[in-house]
Amino acid sequence: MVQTEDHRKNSGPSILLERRVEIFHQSPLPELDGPAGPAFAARLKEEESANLMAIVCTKSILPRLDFVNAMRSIDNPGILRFREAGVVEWPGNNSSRFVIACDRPASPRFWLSLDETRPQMSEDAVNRFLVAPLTNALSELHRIGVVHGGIRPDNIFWREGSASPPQLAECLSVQPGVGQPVLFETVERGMALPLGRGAGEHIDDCYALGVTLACIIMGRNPLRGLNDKEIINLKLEFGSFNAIAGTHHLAASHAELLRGLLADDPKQRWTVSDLELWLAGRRLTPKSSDSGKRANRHITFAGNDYWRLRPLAAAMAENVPEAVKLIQSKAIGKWLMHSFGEDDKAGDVEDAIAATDKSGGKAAHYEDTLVARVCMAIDPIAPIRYRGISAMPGGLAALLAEAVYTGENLQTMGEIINSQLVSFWVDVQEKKADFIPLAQQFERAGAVIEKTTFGNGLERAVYTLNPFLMCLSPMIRDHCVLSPRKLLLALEQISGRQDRPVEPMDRHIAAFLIVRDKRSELLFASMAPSEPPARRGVAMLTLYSELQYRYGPESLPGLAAWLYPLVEPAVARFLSKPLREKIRRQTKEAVNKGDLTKLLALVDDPKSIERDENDFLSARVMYSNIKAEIEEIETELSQRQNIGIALGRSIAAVISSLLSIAVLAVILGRILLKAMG
Amino acid sequence: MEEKKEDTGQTGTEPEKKKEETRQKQKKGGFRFILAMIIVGAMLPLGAPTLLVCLGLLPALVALLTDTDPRKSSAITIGFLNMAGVAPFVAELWLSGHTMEAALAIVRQPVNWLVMFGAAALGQALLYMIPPLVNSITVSRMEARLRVLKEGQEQLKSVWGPEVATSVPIEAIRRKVNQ
Repeated sequence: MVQTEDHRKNSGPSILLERRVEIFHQSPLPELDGPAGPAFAARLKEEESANLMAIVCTKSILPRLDFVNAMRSIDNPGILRFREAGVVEWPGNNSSRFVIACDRPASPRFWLSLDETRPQMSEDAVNRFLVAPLTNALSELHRIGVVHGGIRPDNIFWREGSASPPQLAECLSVQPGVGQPVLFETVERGMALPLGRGAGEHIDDCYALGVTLACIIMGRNPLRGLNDKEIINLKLEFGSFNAIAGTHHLAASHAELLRGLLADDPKQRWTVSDLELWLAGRRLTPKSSDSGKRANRHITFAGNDYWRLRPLAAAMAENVPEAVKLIQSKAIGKWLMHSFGEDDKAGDVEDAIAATDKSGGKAAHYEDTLVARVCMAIDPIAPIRYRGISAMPGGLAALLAEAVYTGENLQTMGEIINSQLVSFWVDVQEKKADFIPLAQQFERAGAVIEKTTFGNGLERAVYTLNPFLMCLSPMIRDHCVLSPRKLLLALEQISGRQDRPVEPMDRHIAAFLIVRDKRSELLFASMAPSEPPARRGVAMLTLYSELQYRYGPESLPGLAAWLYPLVEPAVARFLSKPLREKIRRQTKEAVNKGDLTKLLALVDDPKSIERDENDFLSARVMYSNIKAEIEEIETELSQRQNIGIALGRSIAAVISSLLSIAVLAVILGRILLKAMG
Repeated sequence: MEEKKEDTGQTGTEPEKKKEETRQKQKKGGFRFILAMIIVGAMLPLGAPTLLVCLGLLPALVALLTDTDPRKSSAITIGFLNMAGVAPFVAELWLSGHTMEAALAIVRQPVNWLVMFGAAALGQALLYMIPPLVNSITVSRMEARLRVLKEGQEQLKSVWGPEVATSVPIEAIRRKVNQ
């Protein structure tokens, strides 16, 4: 019955994804919608019986393209099989969307909602039907280095009693942690904004599996009704295991399983290897509780007493003015040394204060920076918390992309990168070496942000930090341009719109090409609004003609027509009017053909320009000579009555001479004739 | 022959005196002096022809004395034609015995005077007509050239713009065009 209904949905008009998947855009599958966007029925073009689903990323700007190839290699019954990914032109709104196509799940969602209550499953059923297959799926993901980031009961497809194993939903449409409730995230990831949680690690999936299993074993969400902050506080206060499953009577093996998977200390948390050992019957002994070391003596902050470091750091991050007072009173350092014996951490706090004083002094947002650094010193594995932004360093890139996309929190994101909070975060980590590349990446991004030239700034930083981010230029963001290869096509498509911008270039496109196409910054410096119009137009045309030569298509009449007014000043550089008109005629022909290379050759031919200049200078000399000759003639004509008189007299003399010579010759002839008789 | 010589001597002294006076007054009578010397020299062996020539070339002499042009083009024009008018009678005199009587016979004929002086008048007529004609032709040619030059200027302006007539730097012209 389900199969029949599924097949029925595979009908109607379709669009092709990468020439192998048909997406039926009029057959939505609302029950399969994900945090990235809606799902639609799809099928393989060459295998019509294969029912697929296509997640259309309408809400996600950062699908995980870096793992597309890795996911192709997975064919595990515990994971919805990935089939294809790419950009399609979505009908109706003249825009493109990124689409992920994977197998349509054979079963419905295991839980329809996290608020539902279900009958408890037996220990054996949980182990056999859930733990084993999901461990297998996690093992497969771990093998290819993919973090799922979305393991939870309502993101698993399984029907109790079904012969088929539970299947994890696709995980490429959104960044790990996006759409994942705080309950299923580790404490530190839960503190971060969803998009700022970063790529995560395999053990984060293990934690999510632990919470998922806890929910399934208990038949309900154990922290139902609590908001995110309350859940985090509960986990901080009691540790995740105690907060989630502490009050529930668990089977010994499940208690052990959950204790291992829900360990808050990443070093103590079970991995898939531990799970496999556990499934094989080997019993491990995870720590009972790791809610953090308790101080001998509490510290009072903002009227509350704190006995542990992590809750204190979380509270300080939320109350900056009070935190500054506490820091400046030097009470934290003493408390760390005397009540915890944490001399190293006390040293880190001192370093944080010194580093903040050194880098920012008493500048703007000094207090925010100071508190952010001190919080990092106190709770190193927690996210960076600065002016309402809370993100793991690995998630800052995605958060920056979101900020640039929405235009919100841009300044704050810039400050986080520029004030080198990431470097400080890395400095206080136990395993610094693992994070040094990350710190270097953000230092480079900081240097780029400080440059204000065209193609630099936050725009360039966002593409440097997000290698698979589409171009976020407002004019082409609806076209999902992921590579320079597709840029011209997108520009050609919008060239016909009435509301197109004046220029097919902005800071985003410039930054995108500098980063993705390894273009020289100098070319884009010529496109800055402060540059002369001719220079800007030619620079844009040079860039796009080269892209057309390299990536095609052969004809871009729309883009050429868009560029034409911008290169008109370059045509106006020609000083000769007829030459100018000739070039204009030829450029119009090139525009109609959409040949940018020819257009460039016409408007920016150095030889023609030089020849035109030389001709102009020659014309100037000629004009000057003519002027001098005119003056000379006019001076002569001012006494016109004298002109030619002398010559006329000379001519008269010559005529007279000739006549007389003729007469004399005749006379002489007559004399000679007479003399001869 | 003596009369001839006397006549020649009489006729030869006048131009010489005149030439001397002119030389003193204008200090530029070299050509006239040489001409006078030639005339005087010619008078000595040829008394009858000299009489004829001297009388026949009176217009040339007048033209020579009145011509202020340094190149003496008026004198040359009138003089040469005047000579052409006198030459047939000199030839006739020569062929008819080369005597004073023959010379006087020629002189007595008014038609001969008409021919000799008419030839000089033709020279004057040339002077009257040709310089204005040349003036007219030259002026129209200059005016035509002026028109051509002005048209050339306009063409240059139409091709290169008014800046071709200035010394504004090329970059400044381009900036102005782009504005």
